[in-house]
Amino acid sequence: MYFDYLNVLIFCAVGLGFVFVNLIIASFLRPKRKVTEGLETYECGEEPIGDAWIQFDIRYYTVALVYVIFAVEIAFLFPWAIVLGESFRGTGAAVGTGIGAFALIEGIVFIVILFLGLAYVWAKGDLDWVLSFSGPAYQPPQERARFLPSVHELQELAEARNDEGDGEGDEAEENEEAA
Amino acid sequence: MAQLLFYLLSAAAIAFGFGVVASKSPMKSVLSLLATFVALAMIYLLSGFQFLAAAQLLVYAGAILVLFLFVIMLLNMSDLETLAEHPTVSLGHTRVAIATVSAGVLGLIAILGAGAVQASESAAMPPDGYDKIEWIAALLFSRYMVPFQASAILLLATMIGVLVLAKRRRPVQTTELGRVDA
Amino acid sequence: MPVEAVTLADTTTKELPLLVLWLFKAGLIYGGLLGTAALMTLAERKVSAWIQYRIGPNRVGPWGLLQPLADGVKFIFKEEVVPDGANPLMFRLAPILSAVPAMLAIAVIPFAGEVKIGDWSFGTLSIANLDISVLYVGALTGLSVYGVILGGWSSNSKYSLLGGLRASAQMISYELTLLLAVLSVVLMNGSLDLRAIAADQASTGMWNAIVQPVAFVLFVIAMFAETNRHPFDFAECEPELVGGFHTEYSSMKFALFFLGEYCAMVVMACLATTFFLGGGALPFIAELAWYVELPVFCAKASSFLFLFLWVRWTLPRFRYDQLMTLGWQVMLPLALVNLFVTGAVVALGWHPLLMPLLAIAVLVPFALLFGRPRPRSESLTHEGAAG
Repeated sequence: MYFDYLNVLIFCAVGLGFVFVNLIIASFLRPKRKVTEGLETYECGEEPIGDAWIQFDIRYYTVALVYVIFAVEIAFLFPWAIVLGESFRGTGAAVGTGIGAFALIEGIVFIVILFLGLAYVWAKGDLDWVLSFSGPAYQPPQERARFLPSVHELQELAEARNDEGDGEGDEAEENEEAA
Repeated sequence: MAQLLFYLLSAAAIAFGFGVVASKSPMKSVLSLLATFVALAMIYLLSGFQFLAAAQLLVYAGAILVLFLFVIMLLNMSDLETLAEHPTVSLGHTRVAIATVSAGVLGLIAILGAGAVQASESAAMPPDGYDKIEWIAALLFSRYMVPFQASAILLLATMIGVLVLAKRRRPVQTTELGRVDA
Repeated sequence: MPVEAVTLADTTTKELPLLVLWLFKAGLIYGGLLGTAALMTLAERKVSAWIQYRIGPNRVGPWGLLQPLADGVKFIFKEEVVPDGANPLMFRLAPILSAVPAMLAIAVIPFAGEVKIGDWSFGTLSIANLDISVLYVGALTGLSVYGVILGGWSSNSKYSLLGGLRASAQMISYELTLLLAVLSVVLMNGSLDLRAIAADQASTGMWNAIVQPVAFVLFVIAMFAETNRHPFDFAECEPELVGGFHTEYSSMKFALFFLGEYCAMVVMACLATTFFLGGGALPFIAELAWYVELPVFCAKASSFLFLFLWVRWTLPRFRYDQLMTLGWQVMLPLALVNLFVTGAVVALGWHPLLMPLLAIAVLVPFALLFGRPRPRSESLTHEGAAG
């Protein structure tokens, strides 16, 4: 057994060796320029504003948390599967220990308990990636300077013109309320 | 050679463990922790506990550390860096001292533990007729049945608890599409 | 199996010629892996050309066969950019963490049984014969997240960060399904050893693709998500994120990410072959020599590799919320239920062929009832959003 792990270690060393040899060869052969323009992070030709290390949505954290719980469960289920498989197939070391049926029930209870966790997260909506489209409407920040009018402003402009034009502004307002 | 490997791996584990505490960048701490876990897994392997080693990698390195990474990325990095540069409480010397002392204690435990492991090597080995993972399973599903199920309930409670805490201060962001993800 | 009381020192001194043999074997399999990965980069372009009625690369060597080599040389000669504000250590570490774990998993794949040439026996055609090779593979898939997450984070680019973040969340979500599907296979075949799993399928003639259809489908879908391939390639979905987590990478470091991705594909194809198609077995033939097994294994694995390319040019990319819904609300519960049912069938000693019948009897009406493409609901239209 140790010998097989030694093989893995050798294999790992060979893999790392390949990677490093490539990196080192490339570091000798590639051109080196002292130009600073190319060193900006890519942002479609714009100058990047600020760091990229932003605070992201908490749902990624939720996903990672649920993953941890289930990874632990799976780690426990590997012995379960092996014992169950061996004892009912009649081969392997677990035969004759009389542990099979007991392990089956226990494993199922274990899965059900953790499935409750998944059900909780599910019911609470943490697994729904699109949280809600029916939240409060977007209010554009007022103080922002704009060169071009926003969609809202254009709409207001159009409505104002309608009002001036033929006096059908009431209907337009009603439509907007209905929407 | 096994002994040499053991001491090398222990030294690596302790060194990286020290790196976890001493490093200013939380990202480097997590990577050091990853190296510590890998070294620990290899020590398990060296002691003949294959399943423990794999579970260590699967659960700790593969899952829990990813959660740590997400937590670090969830926090605002620039805040963290300024905190590291100008700590509100001067932790510098205290931290190093604590890290050194704990590393020393850990090293002592490891050295003493190595002797203990050697002494009780035959006792620690599973009885004949059991492959390693079946041995663990046999104990897990018979003698340690209650702790096993208790761990399931503990995991469930942890998950629900953390979610309740995490969601308490969820910022509601609204944009042109309603609420959007990050 | 009794515990082997061999210490490491004894083994290495006694078996030094064997060590040379293993080194040779490692070189062979490693070369095979890298060669296949290189050929896959060519096949990717050739197959896409074929599907799109083009010719594809045909300038370098006959049929463009030397194209991967030319690409490699070009990568080596390219200028390397480490962007301003990037975390230099992590930026350099990420490609290595991406490529090496992907390669390591190939070590436990049993390509063929006992290799015998004349009177010489060379052991099985795999680098390491571990008792717990399934767990070893599981642990390595867990580690493959780090390359993506670190590459995305260390670049200090918004595209990279979002790509890395999405890809890592996707990979951990689908890893659960992958492992649960593997667990049902472990239940069916009663072993954590890939060799035993393949041998068991070969001896009973019941491949897991037949007796575990649900697990098979789940595994194949999760396999695509784990390797960040279409239709799940959120790591680098070009229209939104430029290059995703490797936007800022160039030169050899980019090549390593590239290599890691293709190695992961090769490994996954080999795993699917071992878990579900009986390794190098042929139906109705019990014992095969290694020189039959090896080509059969390669043919089966190649069909999975072709599937990777075929799907890429057939299916459109998912939306991220669809991906998460599919992973957590469809595949994970299905994998858990499948594990339940498998456990019950194994425990009650029923015939394994009951599983596919049960799957068809339950899943087909279920899919017909609920699986119809739903019209977009009112609340998702723009009016709903604005109001």
